[in-house]
Amino acid sequence: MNWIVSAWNKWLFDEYKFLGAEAVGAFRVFYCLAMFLVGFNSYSSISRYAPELYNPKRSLAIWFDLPSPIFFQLLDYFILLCLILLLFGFRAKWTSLILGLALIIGNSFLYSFDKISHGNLLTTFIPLVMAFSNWGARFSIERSDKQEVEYWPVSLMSFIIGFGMFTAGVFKVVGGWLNPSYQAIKFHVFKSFLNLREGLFTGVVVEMGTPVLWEVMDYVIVIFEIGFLLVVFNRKWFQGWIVAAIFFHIGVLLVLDISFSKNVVVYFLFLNWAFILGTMRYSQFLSFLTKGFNYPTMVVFILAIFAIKYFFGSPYLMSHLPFDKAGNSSILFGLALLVIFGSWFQIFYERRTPKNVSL
Amino acid sequence: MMINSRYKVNVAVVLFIVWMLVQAVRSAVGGEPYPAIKYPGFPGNGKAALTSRELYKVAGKERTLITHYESVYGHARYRKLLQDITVAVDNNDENARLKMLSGLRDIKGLQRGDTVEIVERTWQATKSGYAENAINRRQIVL
Repeated sequence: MNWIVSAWNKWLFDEYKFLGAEAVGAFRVFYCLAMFLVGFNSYSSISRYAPELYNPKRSLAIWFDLPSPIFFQLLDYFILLCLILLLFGFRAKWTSLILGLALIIGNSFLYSFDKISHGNLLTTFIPLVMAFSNWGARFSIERSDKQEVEYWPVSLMSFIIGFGMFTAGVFKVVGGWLNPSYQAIKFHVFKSFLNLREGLFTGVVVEMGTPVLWEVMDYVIVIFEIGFLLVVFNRKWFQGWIVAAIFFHIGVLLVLDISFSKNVVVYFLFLNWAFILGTMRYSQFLSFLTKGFNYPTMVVFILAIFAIKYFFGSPYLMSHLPFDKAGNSSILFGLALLVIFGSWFQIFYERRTPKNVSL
Repeated sequence: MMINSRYKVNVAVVLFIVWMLVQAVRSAVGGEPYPAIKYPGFPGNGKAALTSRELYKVAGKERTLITHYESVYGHARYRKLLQDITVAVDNNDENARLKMLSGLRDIKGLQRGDTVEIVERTWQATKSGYAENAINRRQIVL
């Protein structure tokens, strides 16, 4: 029994210590900047939906009638404010918790129209969980080298990701994905194809698919998703699975035209920050960035983002880029691939990576 | 207050994981909060209707609106909305028609008096692949 407790404590408190305080702080900055790229849900758009379809089932919304449009407008501005404060690390713990709570409130109403956007779930968990990591201790207005960082929230996030993928895999098994008499992924690809929801490679896959290939894909996807929970307790395996997940999401985007770019934002927590920070130090960008964390810059940032929101509707970059979904998502996917291959390059050629850093 | 003792963290994390497990089991066993979570019926015997798509012609321009509505309301309720408005038009029920129209109000170009052509295609899975089974067309005035 003791070895179980010991192994549990080792995983929960020490498994991700290798990341280091700087990486956790840098991830906070990356998370906020990435959210300005891909965006949170716009809750003010709820007022465009038909009120007859408001049908809360199990969320905070069951206690309320549909609020007025002004409420959702204010909620959008409030979330923006929290995001900027968190970017600058202002009272990072409380800002994170309040941001997470605001997102839950918004999602409660948004999802009461019967459409649940799974792509937003992990990004909602991030501020709620990482609030307890003291991720405002570095790269922030209130930075201090003396403040310690907690790593159990990182372990918990790995479990949340693994568990989410695991449940997706279990439901696939229950739904018959492993039954060789029919091919589930073939069904989804054709369903997508017939609904005119085409990814870049949908047509190619439809033409090239054979029963054996379809069935192999069914098995690979189920094993990949269920395996996510099994590898949670070993960071090297988990990091490997994260890399596989990035390629998996790219495949899903290209074939089924379903983008999970927000998940990729969360995966960055587990990628090699030693490589990222090392590269930034080399270019002096890190010292430039650190100097930017001050109150005047934060106020200017708030005014600028609010002005963009007021005049252009959405402050999120992707909503203004002239690309389609695949084009927009490719920015984050490309960044993730750059980090992965950059890390491999670093490990393979320089061999200067510390022993406890992989990928 | 920062949770700083390992004991408190362990209790909080274990409780959270148990809560996630309970939610997962509840979703799996006790029905479902959202119909699309359940995987749609697979064409197991190779004969069942696979899927359908609807195209809508508004003012001569063919547009696919089902994708838009999938991302807003969810597939099942959208189909019900279209059935309801079709029934309301058939029965000349003005109140029902107005109520349903509000459900379609955010589609640009769709308003009272517009003629909408609904084209429903049904697809079937066959041994040799997937074949178009039937096309039903009808026009309704909103």
